[in-house]
Parts: sequence; structure tokens; C-alpha cells
Amino acid sequence: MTLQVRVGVEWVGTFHNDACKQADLSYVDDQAEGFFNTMGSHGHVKVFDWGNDNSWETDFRHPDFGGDSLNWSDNVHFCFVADHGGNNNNMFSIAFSKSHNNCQSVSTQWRLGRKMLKWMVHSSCDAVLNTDGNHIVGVWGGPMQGIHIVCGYIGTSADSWWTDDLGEDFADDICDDDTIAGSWVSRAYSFWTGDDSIAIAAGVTKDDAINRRDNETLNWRDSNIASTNWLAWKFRT
Amino acid sequence: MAEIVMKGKMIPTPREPTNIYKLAPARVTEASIRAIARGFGMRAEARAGVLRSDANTLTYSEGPLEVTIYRASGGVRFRDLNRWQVDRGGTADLRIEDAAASRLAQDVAGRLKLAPARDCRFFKAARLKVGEADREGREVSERTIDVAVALQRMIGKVPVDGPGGKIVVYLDADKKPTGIERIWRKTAGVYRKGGELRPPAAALEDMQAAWRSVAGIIEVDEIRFGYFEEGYRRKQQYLQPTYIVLGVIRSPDNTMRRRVVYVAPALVKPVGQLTPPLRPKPPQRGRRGN
Repeated sequence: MTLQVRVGVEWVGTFHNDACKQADLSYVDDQAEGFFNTMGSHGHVKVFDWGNDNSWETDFRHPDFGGDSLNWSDNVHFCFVADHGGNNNNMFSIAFSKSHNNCQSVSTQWRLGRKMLKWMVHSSCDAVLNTDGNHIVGVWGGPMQGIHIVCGYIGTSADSWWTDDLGEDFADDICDDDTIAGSWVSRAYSFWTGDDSIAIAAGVTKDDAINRRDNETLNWRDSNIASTNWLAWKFRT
Repeated sequence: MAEIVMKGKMIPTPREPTNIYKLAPARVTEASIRAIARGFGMRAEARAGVLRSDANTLTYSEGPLEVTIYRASGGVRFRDLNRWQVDRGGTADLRIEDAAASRLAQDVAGRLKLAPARDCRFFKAARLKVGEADREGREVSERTIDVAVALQRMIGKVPVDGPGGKIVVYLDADKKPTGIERIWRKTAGVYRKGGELRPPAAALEDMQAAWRSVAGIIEVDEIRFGYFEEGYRRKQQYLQPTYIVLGVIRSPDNTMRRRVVYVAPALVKPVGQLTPPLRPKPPQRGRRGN
């Protein structure tokens, strides 16, 4: 029996023509809500589904920086975000359709896992720009503070109906006891659109991080990380 | 309205003869999954394993071996869960050139009768790598633990593109197969023979019209010509020639980007719709709070 987890999703596809303007996206809701509903169909708790103007950057920003993450993204075990992403100078950022209270949220203001968050997916571009170990650690070593695994893409990813089943496929896999990192890397990689996937696990020790990368499932929900001293990742390119 | 800019090289109008093919509906039954399981070396007898069924898939597992068939497509996913994507011993480091990986994958495809060699070609080899580092970025290491080889379906000299029309063979560090994916719908005869092809530039016009409600600048990197086959979870009635447009949509300040795909019919007289219309999104109830 898989442990029950709390799930939240956010997605942004339609942007206002103001300071927050970005190119519109068409399939982010399919991915995020596909994940949300499939997790729910397997008995997990659907906590929030915030899309477009209802998705706020304060949901990700830690209170140390004036945000409200502990009531939203860090108040669920699994948070899935489908959006635009960018990465500059080892800072990952995601975009919002309206300013509440900023148009973007920057990873340097995240403290992922300080409260409840164990796993996070960024179905957007540029979770990392390349697979250089120093870059991966540079982007995620700071924000990962208790979270077990972050999943995303290396460089660009597609907004396409070819990949809009990703949320469902990934949720089905992990609810069937597949490993979280392995399932993400397998399902999110696409030979045909050129999406390169990556999953990054944290650990107190090197062996702990490797063990989580290779073996962690939803049943590891309560296996907490006292201090993130190591990162271990897997990717397909 | 999206502005579309051609950055890559425009391909010429293809000259290869093409048809529209009818596709046979997928047959997903207990008998069919047991037959497929036997093909992958499982006993697949009534009491040898476990059969699971849901609205989308039928799965048979026997020990660590698991095969899933998708009802909509007939697509097959086979995995040896003890070995697929597994970093055994933490020391594996697979070193194999694409050509050698392709040969091994084609051998597996032939041996398991997944497709005749003449009907597929090497598309790409993708390696699964693992790495570690401490929080200061010291002691960085990286190894390759498997390679996934994609073989692309061919119909005559025309490739089949899209999320379907492929066989993927996963090879572990010992270069042994650990998993297979196959989305390869059976054709059921020619629906319409031949036909005049549109110029590839017509695909860009279609894309512009279809995405008139989308704001942004789309830079098109590549247009590919090929039959289009859908993925695991979709039904498909016809296989027809298409232009596949791949580009990147960028924000006005160029800080954010996403790759986009559009599939346009290549024939002057196509059948059905390829890229699904963008559906209107229901408005969300306003969110309250701070």
C-alpha cells in the first residue's frame, strides 16, 4: 500500500499583455491537471490546482523573503508546476500571468522542503542549462532544503500535445511504485521533440542522495533529510 | 497573433510517392498480451503471473518482468524491473558508440520480431547518466548506466515521425536489453493512393492560422517531412504524410522560451485533422487571499 501524499499543481498558460507578458502556452494545464487528477484517482489528496491568474509567485517564495510558500507549495508533499522557465547565472525562475506580487519567482528565494514538500516537478524549460555538476549544484544546492527530489529539463522543453500526457503517465508510474527519479527521466525524455530530462535528489550523505535517486518512491514520504549535504542526479540526453 | 519566423532551412517539396493508409484498431485482449509476453520470454500461463487492467492499459507481470499494452494505440512497453535503468553496483560505466548501439538494438528488434529490418532505421541513441556532488560542488562524478536506442519506422523511403512510429531498445552496461517500447500501429491497406503534395511553406501558414489566438514570436528551426503517428494514449485511424514544424516560442524580453510543435498535412487532399485545435480554457474561479 502506497502512503497517501498531498498534491498541489500550478500552471500558467495565458499571460497578460503587461509587464508580466510572456508567450502563451497551450498544454501546461493538460500536464499539470493530468498529474493532479491521476494522483487523485490513485487515492492521493488533491489540495490545490491553481492556474493562470490564480497561480501566484508568493506560493513559491519563502517567508524569509516575504512569500507564502509554507501555506502552498511547501504545504503539500508533491508540487507539479507547468510553466515558462528560465535560468540565468545559476538562478532558475518561473513566470506568472499577473504580478502577485512579482511577475517571476526566483529559485534563490525558495527554501524547498522546509515544511512538507518532498518532491517537485518543473515542467518548463531550463531547470538546468547543462549537465555540468557545478552548474547543477549551483542552481539547486541552495533551494533544496529538505525536499527529496526535484525534476525538470535540461535546456528547452516542448509545449505540445505530443507530451501533454506526461502528467498522467508519470503519476500512473509512481503510484505503481516506480521510482520517482527513474520514472520522470524516462517519461519526460522525448526522442521526437528533443526534451532532455533530469531528476536531482538530495541527501545527508553521498550514499543517501544516491539511494534516493535510484530507489525513492512515494513510500519514502516520511524519510526526512536532516541536512542537504549532497546532490545525486540522473538524466537522459 | 503569433509571429512566425523561419530560422532554419526550408526543405524542398518532397518527391517521394506517398499514400494515406488506414490503420487497424488495436486489439488489446488477455490473449494478445499473453502472446506478447511470451515473445519477451515470459511463461505467460494462467497462474504464472498477474494481469491488471484499467481504462487505458492492460498489464501482465511475471516476477520482475512487466509488459503493458495501451488500449488506444496497441503500444507496448516491456521492462525487466530488476535491470531497467538500474545502476547495478554503482560502478557501471557504459561506453558504446551510436553505431554499435544501433546494431545491437536492431538485432534485438529482429530477434523479437518487433519489425522487419527494412522497415526501420536508426534515429537516435540517448544515454542515461548519473552524477553526484557535494553541496559545494566538489567531488563531482558522472557515469553512463544505459543507452536507449530509438529505431524509426519507415514506410518505403518516408520516415514515420511523431511520438509513435518507433521502437526503443534499452541496453544496460552489459549491453543486454532491459526494456522495449514499441508504438507501431498496423496498417490495414491503402485508403487513398498518391496525391499532390503541398509546399512545406504551407505548413507555416497553417500554423499561423491555427495559433492566431496565441501571442508570441515563434522561431521555426526545422520542418520535417514524414508520416505522422500518435503516441500511446491516442486512437488514430489514418497514417498520412505531414510536415512537422519544430520551433521555439520566446517571450518579448527573450528570458523565457518553450519549444513548440505543429503538424500540418502534406497532401493537398488530406484526411481528418492532425494538430488538435487549441481548445478554449474554461475560466477559473477567482482565488481569494493575500
